[in-house]
Amino acid sequence: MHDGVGEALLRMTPVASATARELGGATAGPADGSARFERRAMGSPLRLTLVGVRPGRASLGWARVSAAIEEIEEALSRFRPTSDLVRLNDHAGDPAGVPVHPRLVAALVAAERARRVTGGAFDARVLRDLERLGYAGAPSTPGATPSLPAANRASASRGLASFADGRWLHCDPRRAIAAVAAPVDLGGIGKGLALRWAFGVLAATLPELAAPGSGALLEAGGDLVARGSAPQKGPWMVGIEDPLDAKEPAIVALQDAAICTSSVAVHRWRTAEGRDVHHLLDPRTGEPGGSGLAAVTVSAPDPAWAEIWSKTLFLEGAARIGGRARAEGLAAWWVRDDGSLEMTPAARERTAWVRGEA
Amino acid sequence: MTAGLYAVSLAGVTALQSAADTQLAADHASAAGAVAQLKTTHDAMESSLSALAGIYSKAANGYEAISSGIAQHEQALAALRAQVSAATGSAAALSVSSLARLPAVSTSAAAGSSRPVVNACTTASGKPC
Repeated sequence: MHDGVGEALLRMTPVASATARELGGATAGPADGSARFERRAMGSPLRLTLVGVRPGRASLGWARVSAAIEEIEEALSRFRPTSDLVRLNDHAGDPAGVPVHPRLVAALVAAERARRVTGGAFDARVLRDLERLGYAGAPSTPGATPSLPAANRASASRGLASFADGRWLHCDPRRAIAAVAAPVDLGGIGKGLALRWAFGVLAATLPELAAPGSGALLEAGGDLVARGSAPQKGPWMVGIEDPLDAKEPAIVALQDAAICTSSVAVHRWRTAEGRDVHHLLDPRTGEPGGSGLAAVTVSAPDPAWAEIWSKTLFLEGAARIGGRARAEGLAAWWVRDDGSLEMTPAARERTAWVRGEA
Repeated sequence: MTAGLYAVSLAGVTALQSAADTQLAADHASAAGAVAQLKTTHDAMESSLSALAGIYSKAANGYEAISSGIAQHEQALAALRAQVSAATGSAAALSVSSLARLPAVSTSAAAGSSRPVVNACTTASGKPC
């Protein structure tokens, strides 16, 4: 569909070993021999940090990752008028479906599996309810006003529409044809899948990442996937967000795993009726969920499932999140709306530092 | 002669009766001591029973006070049993290959130690880190 390599090479902004980023007062600087790249994608900064990779190889890895993200975004974004997803949503309700990028077919199949596994807490058809409440989503560039392609503005009706056979998704992966009963928003799972696929491209491009002492960290809008060693030799250290405080409440040691956060820190607004709402809707009710919670972070082997579970756990609310997280065996951290931090036993094993215990 | 015989007999009878009375008095005194001892023992028993009744009453009150707590605890245990059953079922449903893919935890928590250098942070979508 796209040979996005050339385009991405023109767009990318390598900052390898050029600047040290200040993170909460601690510095992981260029003197550590790491290579860093950054550009904007999926409405957020896209960053890649490589350790133990020669500069020319690092640039090649970044070019491939950047191209892969560009291609995925062109397939999955609902903020690009030309994307496959926008075209598919334009034909929502038509069981014949339309030809789409194979990545979009794979993402839709993954979204349906997430719906089944989470018992309906995750559902890509939540788009109509988001729009009913007035949510437009993240702007694709800093400072831009969020807006939806005209064709994507669904009716304000409530309900998770299905085809006559009770399914919301018809697809033929071999011919890359998909049909949806209602407009869909891949949102978080789309970003998680983008990280999964882009990191796969990176690992295939740079087999030297499997060598001892080397490593990679790929970030997109607060979701991360890490492999191997960090510049300081050892696991990658990732700060957890406290939406109520600028300082992170805990730091997680991440190695060969992903970590994602669902939070209401950014996407909050007041509806025309004067209600304060946020973008994490419970598909089963069509209303914002997560009573008593400010943020939920989940670490998992795969970034898409870390996204799925962080949102699912958020919707459980403060009263039920602990039981659900432990029942699922998840490594999960959550910040209550009173600012207190809690975590599961699996999360404790991965926690390197806790502000309240320092 | 007859009067003398009578006097002797009377004296003898009197002597015999006196001896019997003395024996009876001695026996009565012994019985009275035993009764007094029995009464003392009975009093002690009554006192002990009274004390035991007080202890039992306190225990009964205490049990009544914690009985609601025991009921709640039993409910919590039942819920825990259900969760353990669910977790056991989930674990059994995992295939061996899934287990084999689980990531190794190579770093244990050192929470409370000095703050480590942070490489990145996980945040809400679109929020600057």
